[in-house]
Amino acid sequence: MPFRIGYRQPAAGGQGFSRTKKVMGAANIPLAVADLNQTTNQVALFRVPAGFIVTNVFASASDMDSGVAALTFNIGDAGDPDRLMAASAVGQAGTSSTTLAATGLYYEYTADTDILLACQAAAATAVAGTITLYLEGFMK
Amino acid sequence: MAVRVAYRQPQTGGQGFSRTKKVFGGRVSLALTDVNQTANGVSVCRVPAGFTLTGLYAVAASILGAAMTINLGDTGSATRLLSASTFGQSTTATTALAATGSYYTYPVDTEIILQPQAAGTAAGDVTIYLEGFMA
Repeated sequence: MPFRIGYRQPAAGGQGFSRTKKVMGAANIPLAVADLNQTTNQVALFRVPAGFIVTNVFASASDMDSGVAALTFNIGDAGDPDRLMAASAVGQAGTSSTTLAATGLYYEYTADTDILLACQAAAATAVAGTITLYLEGFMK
Repeated sequence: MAVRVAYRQPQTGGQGFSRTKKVFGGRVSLALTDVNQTANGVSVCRVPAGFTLTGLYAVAASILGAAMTINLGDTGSATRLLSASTFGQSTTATTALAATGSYYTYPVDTEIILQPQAAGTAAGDVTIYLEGFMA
């Protein structure tokens, strides 16, 4: 079978930092009551660099709603507030999730970008807590 | 209990490039002649010797053909990574790596070749990423 070279040189090699996977994010980022009891506030959790392509997510939160457990989070950026997670319930009872939204899978950030968290549904009774959010990916 | 050491030294450490995960591939343009005949292949990227595959992501930027199916592999096995995948029939991504490709280690630098299994009808771009680590 003949084949045509469809890619451009240089191709990424096995050594060096090119195309090495990285994990952005942080553990136990504090969230205040004012971040949880309304849907209009956003919290920048961390910043990803231009060229970062997302492949996986991990989110784990403390229980930040002592009421009827209404709290859900959107996680994304200024261009799409739920690009990475939509209406995640990790903050309702202190659980974790690795479910990356389809819109975030292999999404390439073309500029340095703040990763934003906002309530999709506010907490019934907000309790300050923490969220751990890691984004796994690679540099284009 | 006696313990026999079955692994070889040196063990992979926490630092350095050994066993670091990497992602190869990217977006490539397919010409009409790459799509509308099954005898042609396109090399979408080249992986280095020792690369051990753990995952795949493939998506078409536009529909390449309503009945098109795509094989992805190499000169040793044309369907090692994808066999008759329908990802070119829509713009929906697939991550369904073939069982023959899961944790396959490439023994030499190898071209990754995309080939129509059933021909398509339109040129377009595809994005192919291969995730894995250096053995």
